[in-house]
Amino acid sequence: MTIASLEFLGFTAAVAILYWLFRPLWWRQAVLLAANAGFLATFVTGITSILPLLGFLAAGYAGLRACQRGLSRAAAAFVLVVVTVSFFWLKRYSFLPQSSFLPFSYSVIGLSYIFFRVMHVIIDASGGDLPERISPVAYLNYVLNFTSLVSGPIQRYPHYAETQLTAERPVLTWPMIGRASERIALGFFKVVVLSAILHAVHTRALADFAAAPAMSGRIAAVLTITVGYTFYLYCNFSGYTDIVIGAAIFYGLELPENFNHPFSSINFIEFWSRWHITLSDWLRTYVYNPLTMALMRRFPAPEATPFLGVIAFFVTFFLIGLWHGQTSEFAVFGVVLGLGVSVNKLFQVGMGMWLGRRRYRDVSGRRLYRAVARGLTFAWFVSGLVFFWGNWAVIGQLAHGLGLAGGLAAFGSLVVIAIAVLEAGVSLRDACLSIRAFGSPVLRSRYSRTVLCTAAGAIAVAALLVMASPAPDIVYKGF
Amino acid sequence: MSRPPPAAAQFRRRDLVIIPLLILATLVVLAAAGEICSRLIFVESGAETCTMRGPAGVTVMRPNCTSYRKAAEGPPTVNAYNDCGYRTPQPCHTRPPDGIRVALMGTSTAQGMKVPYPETFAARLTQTLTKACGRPVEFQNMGVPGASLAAVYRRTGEALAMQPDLLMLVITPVEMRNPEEEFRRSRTGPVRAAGHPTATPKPVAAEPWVSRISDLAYQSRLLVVAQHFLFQDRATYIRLYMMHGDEADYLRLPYTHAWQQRLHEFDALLGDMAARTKAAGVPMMLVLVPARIQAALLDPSLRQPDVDPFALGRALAAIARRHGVIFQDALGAFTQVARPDDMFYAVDGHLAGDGHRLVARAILHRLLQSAAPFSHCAGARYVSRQTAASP
Repeated sequence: MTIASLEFLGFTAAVAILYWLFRPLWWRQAVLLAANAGFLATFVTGITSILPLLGFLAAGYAGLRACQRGLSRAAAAFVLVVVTVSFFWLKRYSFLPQSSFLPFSYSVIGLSYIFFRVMHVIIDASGGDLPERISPVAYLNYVLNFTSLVSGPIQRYPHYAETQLTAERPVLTWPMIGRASERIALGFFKVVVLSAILHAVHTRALADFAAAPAMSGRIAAVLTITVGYTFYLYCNFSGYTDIVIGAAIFYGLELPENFNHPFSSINFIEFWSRWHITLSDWLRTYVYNPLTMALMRRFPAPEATPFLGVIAFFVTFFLIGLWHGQTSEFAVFGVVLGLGVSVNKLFQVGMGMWLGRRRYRDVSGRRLYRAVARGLTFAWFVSGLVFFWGNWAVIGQLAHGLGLAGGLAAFGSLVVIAIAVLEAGVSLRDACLSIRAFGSPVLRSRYSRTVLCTAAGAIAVAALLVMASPAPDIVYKGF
Repeated sequence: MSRPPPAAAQFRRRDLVIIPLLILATLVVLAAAGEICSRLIFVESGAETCTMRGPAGVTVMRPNCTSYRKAAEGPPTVNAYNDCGYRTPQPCHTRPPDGIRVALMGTSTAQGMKVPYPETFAARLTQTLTKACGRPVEFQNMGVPGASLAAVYRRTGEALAMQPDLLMLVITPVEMRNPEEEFRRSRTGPVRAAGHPTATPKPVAAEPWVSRISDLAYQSRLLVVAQHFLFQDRATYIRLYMMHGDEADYLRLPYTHAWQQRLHEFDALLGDMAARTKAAGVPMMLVLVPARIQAALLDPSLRQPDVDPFALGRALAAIARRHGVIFQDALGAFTQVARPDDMFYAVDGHLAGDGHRLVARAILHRLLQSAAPFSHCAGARYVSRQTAASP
């Protein structure tokens, strides 16, 4: 089932109606279990194709229960290694021997996100942070939650249990229904309309690049290709997130946010606290923090501490890149992300040492500094994404078409344009939000949002109904 | 963007009224804006102002009249009618010496409605056959948009009075869909104009408000645009079209009683026309131009069981054979292109210029092979060359 479809809306509505039909916890859990199983079933072709995923879930639950009963550190680490290797094996990562893979096709829908949830409960259980026994039904409902199965967001179990596993039924008020509807309408608009247009722009520009005779034409094409894809990815993924967050509200679940104006970030570290937030949070909790702590134990000198952060950042973001895919392009994507955050951290450390923390804070608060930093952050992300969407053939074609001078000119142009456009965008947003009535910005008033979201939803539904080809699928569904 | 909105003001009871009203108002404004944009982009202007009541009590076109029309999906067209009211540049009262004259009978498809004249199959055939035969060939195009088959039949005498070398009757499944009593009455009773698929018949006994809403929806350009894009998806188009019952039954096998009856009545009508043309010493040809749905169903991956786009053609071929009428099902020509359904206007259903090209190719092939006036025009090599290239 496609998330940005009327079927999904109908499915969510049916689940919500059944969910609110009766009060007891067992009923709500049963409805969600049936919904999650039903949703998962739409992605599988037969019993055999789902068995590997069920096996992974069973192994995860066994590991969780074992950790809750109190495993030694070594045994818990072994469980984590088994789960991690199983994940790589099921995802058929190229560094594993191909002969070891299962000889039939099977569904791995949402496996990456299931992996994060399973790892989280096992790690927390082994650390004693999840003392309450988690029932098989609660576990399945948590890891297979149909709203966040396909591409997240990655919710933590305690947050999930807060609303879904209490005897008291969660509340659903008119404002919540309104907010949920707004998110869904906006999400549909982003996925069905904006991302479809941007995808078409990106694809057409790729064709134009090969045909462009002059260097200026090729630079313009490559800017359209890269920037077009970046906004396409944003609209696609954040639109999907809007839809599922809105849908989850209808059965009382508050999913965490995944995006928060990422393109207004003034450095690459901040960017990752605004883009795919739940993934960054997960990695910070379970990779960055433990790694930093381990490095600090290994190198306890206080003057080394800031530089240990640089190393931990690189490793964490290199893993983010690797997580996205099994090919060597994603390894390079990881290196680009790792370089982005580690150089950023190094710059912060260096500037802090050179100017002093206070002066550095003053400088970095200046408008010009912020604009330039925002443009550079954006340009780096856009350039890095080439390794995310392109294969070596396409990347080679772009590199060959531009050459070194052309590539530098394209990057320079991208930085300059990004500085100007993003600054204008931020200023425009501030100006719009400065129009206030009754103490709050007019654009954020309930009535303005109603009008905007109704228009967005109506356009999206119309596009969904009359479009000859379906809206682009969720990019992150493939991960 | 994705941040939850601030819980600014407390939800007030009046919002339960204001918000639905705002939603409604937004939708109305959007629809109005969409309608305006649709009318600006899919321009429709002009009208067929050349119609008049003919001597046989049927609608015909006014002689020496010119009308201008721009359909939403098509290009601007000028419909210039000659001294007999036919969409033909050549006059009909004077016949060129040594020329070949074809009396072309039919409805909007024969007339080339919504297509500039040079792109119609009649104009293309005129040009190609004149070259192939080495003498002037003219198609006196008697096609009248919206005419019923019965009305076409009643002009047989008028067609034969032109002393044509060939009488060509061009029909589509739309004309065949007319109620069977139309055929029964055709030789004696009153004749009414038949609607094209786009000219949705207005409900006669409908309540005024139902009628008004239906009229409003029918006149909405926004809906035309929406359908235009919706019908680009072949699978959706087929699915929606096949939901029609009787209207789509000519595609389903075995034929229903109603369609068997229609074919039976058409058999009688064609037999009568064939007898009259035979008596006048004029050969007759029947051409079946496919509907868009038939072209869409050429895609084998979308073909449903018991659905056959060629079924009507086969049935008409058998009828034509019985009466010694040359027959051509133009659907065959549509199998040679990648997206045959693109040869039609998606909503309107009429042939576009490229569709006329294919029809012309199919007719040319049959004319050069089987029609007496053209048998001397060119040899087999010319036929194969012409069928390989467009006329």
